[in-house]
This record gives sequence, C-alpha cells and structure tokens, in this order.
Amino acid sequence: MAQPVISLHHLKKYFKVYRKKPGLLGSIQSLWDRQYEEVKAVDDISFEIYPGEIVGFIGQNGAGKTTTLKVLSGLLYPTSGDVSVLGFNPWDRKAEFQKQFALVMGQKNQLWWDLPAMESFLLNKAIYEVPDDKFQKTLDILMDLLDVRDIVNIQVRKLSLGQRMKCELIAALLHSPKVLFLDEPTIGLDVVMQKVLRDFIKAYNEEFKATIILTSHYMGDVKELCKRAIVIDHGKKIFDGELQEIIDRFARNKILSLTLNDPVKQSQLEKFGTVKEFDYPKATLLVPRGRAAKIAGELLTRFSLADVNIEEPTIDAIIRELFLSEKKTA
Amino acid sequence: MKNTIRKYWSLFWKFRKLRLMLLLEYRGNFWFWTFVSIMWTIFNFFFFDLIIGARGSIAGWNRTEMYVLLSTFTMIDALTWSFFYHVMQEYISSIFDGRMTLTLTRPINPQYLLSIQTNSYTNVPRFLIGLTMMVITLRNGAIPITVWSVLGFVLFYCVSILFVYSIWFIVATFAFWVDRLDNINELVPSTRRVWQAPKEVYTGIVSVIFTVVLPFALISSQPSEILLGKASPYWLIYYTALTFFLFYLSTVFFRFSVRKYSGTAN
Repeated sequence: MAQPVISLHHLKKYFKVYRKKPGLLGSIQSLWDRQYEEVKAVDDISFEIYPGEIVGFIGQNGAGKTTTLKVLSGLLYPTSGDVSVLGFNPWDRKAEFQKQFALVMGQKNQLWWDLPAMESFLLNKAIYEVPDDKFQKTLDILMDLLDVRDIVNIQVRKLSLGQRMKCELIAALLHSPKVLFLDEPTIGLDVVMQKVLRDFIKAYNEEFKATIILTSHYMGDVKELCKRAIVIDHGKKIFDGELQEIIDRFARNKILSLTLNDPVKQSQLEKFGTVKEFDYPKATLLVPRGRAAKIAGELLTRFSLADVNIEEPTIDAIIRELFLSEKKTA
Repeated sequence: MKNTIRKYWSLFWKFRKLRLMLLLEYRGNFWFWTFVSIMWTIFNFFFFDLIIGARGSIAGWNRTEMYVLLSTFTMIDALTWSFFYHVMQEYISSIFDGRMTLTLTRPINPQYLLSIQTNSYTNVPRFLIGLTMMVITLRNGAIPITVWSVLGFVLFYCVSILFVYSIWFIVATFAFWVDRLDNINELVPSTRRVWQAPKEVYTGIVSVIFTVVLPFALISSQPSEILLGKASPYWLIYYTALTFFLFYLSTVFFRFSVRKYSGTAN
C-alpha cells in the first residue's frame, strides 16, 4: 500500500481567547483586567490521506476545518500531536515543502487587484522558480481547463467574482502542487460557476494526480468531488469514511415523491409515512429507508398514481442529521 | 546559494516593476504626493537655514557642515520613507487582516518577502534634491573629497538604512503580540527630527539615549562626518556593530513572533 501523503496523529490546537464583559464598563475594565479562556479549535484529530485522494473535510462554522488546514500548511504551530505532509513537518516551512503544496482560501486573494492576473502569474513563477517551458505548459493547460485565455490580460478589479476565482486557482496551481488545500473555493459563486470549478478540480486531480483536501459548505462540492469525507464537530472527528457510508448510516429515510391522478386525503397518506408536503396532485412522503420500495408498491396498488419517485435525501439534510445525532449523544 | 541570491535579486526588481506599473495606473496620486514631499524638503532646508542664519552654527557644525548633514538626512529619509513606511504598513495590516497567510506559505524567506513587496516612488525627487544639495554644498564649501570618503559615505549610508530598517521591523513585529496596533507604524517616523540634527546637539542623559542606547542621532551624523573628515572610528565601529546586532535581532524576533500568528478566521 502507498505511503500516506498526509498523516495527522492526535493533533490538538488550542487558542487562548479573551472574553469581554458587555457594555462600556466591561470595555473600561478590560483595559487592566481581561478574562481569557482556552478554546479547543482542534481536539485530538487523527487521519491519513493517500496519494491522489480527494477528501471532503466537512464541519459547521468554527468546527476546526480551517485551523486544521492552517496546521497542515505550516501556518499554525500545533499545541500537540504529530503532523506530516509529504514527509515534512509543515511548520519547519522548508522551501522544498512549500513548493509542493498550495493553499487556496475562497475568501483570500493573492492577485494584484489593479493589474492583470498575468502579472501575478509571472510573479509566482519567479517565487516558485518554475522553469519557462514548464510554466508555459502548465499555464496553457490551466487556462484551457478554466477557459480564461481572454481575461488573463484584463485588470483583476474589472473581472467578475467567478473569473477572479478562476485566476486565483491558476495562480495557486502554476507550480503544479502535489497537495492542494482548498478552503471554501466556491464560496459566493453562482451555481454555474460552482459547477465549472468542481469540474476543474476533478480534472486537475486526474491530470496532475494531486492529493486534495476540500472544505466547503456546499455539499454539492463534496458529493460531486469526494469519495471520502472526514466530518469534524467542535474540533473532534466524528466520521471518517466513504461518503456513501454517511448516507447509509445517517439517512434513515428515503423520499417518495408522488403525483396523484385522483384526490385523496392527507390522512390516507399518513398511514404510509411522514407527509412532508401535500399540495394535490403532488405529495412528498418520508418513509423508512429499508421499506421504501415496498411502500411505493403498496401506494401504487392503493391509489391511482401518475408518477412515483424514490429519492435519497439531500446530502445537506443527512449531514444535518449527523450533527444533530452527535449533539444528542454529547 | 548563488541561485538563491539571483532569485532574491530578481524578485526585488520584479516587485519594483509591479509597483511602477501601479504608479502609472494612478499618476494623479503620484504627482500630488511628489509635490507634498518636495515642499516638505524645501521647508525643512529653509527652517534650518533660518536657525543657522541666526546662530552661525549648530552644536559646532557650521553652515556648510549643516547642509551636508541635511542633504544626508534628506537622502536617507527619502529612501526609508519610500520603502519602509509602506513596507511596514503593509506588514502590520497583513498580520491583522490575515494576508500574512500567503506570505508564510511561499518558498521564500518571509521577512525578505515582506520587506520588498511594496514601495512608493513619490520620494524619488526628494532623494534627487538631497543629492543635488550635497554636490552643490561640497563644491561651494570647498570640502576636500577623496574616493575613500565617498566610499565611506556610501557604506555608512547603507549602514544607516539597515539601522532604520532593523529598528522599524522590530517595532512593526510587535503587531503580532497585540490584537490591534493602528499607530505602531508611526513610532519610528516620529523620531525623524532626532535624525536630522548633529549628535553633538544632545547632552546629558538625552545624549546617552540618542547616541548609545537608541542611536537615532547617528543616522545622518555618521555618514556626514565621514564626508567632512571628522568621523571617530570608535563611533563608526559601535554604530556598525549595533546595526548588525539589531538586524540579527529583527530576524530572531520575527521568527519567534510569527508563532503567534493565527490568521483571521473564515
């Protein structure tokens, strides 16, 4: 079996944060007396990621996703634990390591705002010491994948958010990193642009065999790109496995969408499952996962149906379910 | 090593080129600030000329010597203002707004990258005014100039630049240690009045502070004294040693402080 590209063992990262008392009096008091408390941003997380994997890193706001990525990028020193990325201690910040990874944060930009993106690409070429021929080849591939040939010589401030994000990705990938940390790369983008970026990430992974960790609040990103997902909550890992396993374990129901030919009462449908929506001729039922096919058959014999569909709940709903079950356990 | 030096040198000029391109985008801003800096220089010369005119000399420095000192100050100030003011401003704000993240993930010495990434060109005319005043003063004052005095001047001009950089970088690095320090970048520029007077002006405890502890009074005095043939080797050695020590301290303090960086949350 291949060696892991990324391995974390019992990673902990705690921060000391200041809690201000409310009001003006609290502000005045804070001049000489401040109350600090420890926040466990990452609390004993372990996992390994292998070459070429795309792993979805899922969690609510403040779960510790970005903190973990910052530790992996060498930006933060861990409170304790062992971390290895491409065989390096990230916080040694060795140039040989930094030339092999890229951190893309959807809310941070590296392009020079008042200059065309091409100027930032050339600057990165110099910083990462990319040879001329390799730079041109990679640039050509990336520009074609993202279809940006006609905008790279326009000032960045004149580009749309989607076009800027495409150029940000190119700037981050010109040195062909083996490991890619993508932190909310599709944030704020419209659905069309989200799809374009997902396709690009998939194509980049295939073309360059890169290992990718992706955090995103859009479950569509994770569902489309990642076979494996790691879910963290309040700094702790609560799931690590195939995305399908989350669906199997946490999606207790399936959705039956019905189109009725004749009017029926809602109470008649409630015998088969939980009625989520009922607006004749349309009805939506939540039914136990294991009995979905059987119930659909019973509905077909009992009522005159124009159409019936059995669907999985959305991945967002399943993840919500997962977090709720974790909260109840806690 | 050779490749690294070549890369660092090439990057320095790439950033200058990018800044020049930005300047050409906003030329109105450039002309305005150039006008302000030229006026500031003219008033500064005028102010000292008035004092020298009234007193004949300042702390034993006659009019010609004072003009050499003011020209040196103008050239040092123009360069430090062009680079360090903007560099440190960018450095400090990048700590607070999280842009430091990018700097720290790049395969290059982060202190170097932070120190070269920006500059302004609005003080170039001030530097030229200082240089012109220096040449005129040396010619009119009939001060004997040798190759060694010019080389010594250039060398100690660079030492002074390194001294200002080191002090300024150390001060700016304190931004890692507090949640917000809006005015920290104004601390070093606020001492500029001290730089432009001869070190003999200061007496007693003030002299100890400004020539030994924090020798801001040596910044313009030492290069000027070399040109005027009145430099003391003891002061030169002390100033050089202290400057290199401060530079070393700035690198150690930066490496230590950067561990405090957490970036901004998403």
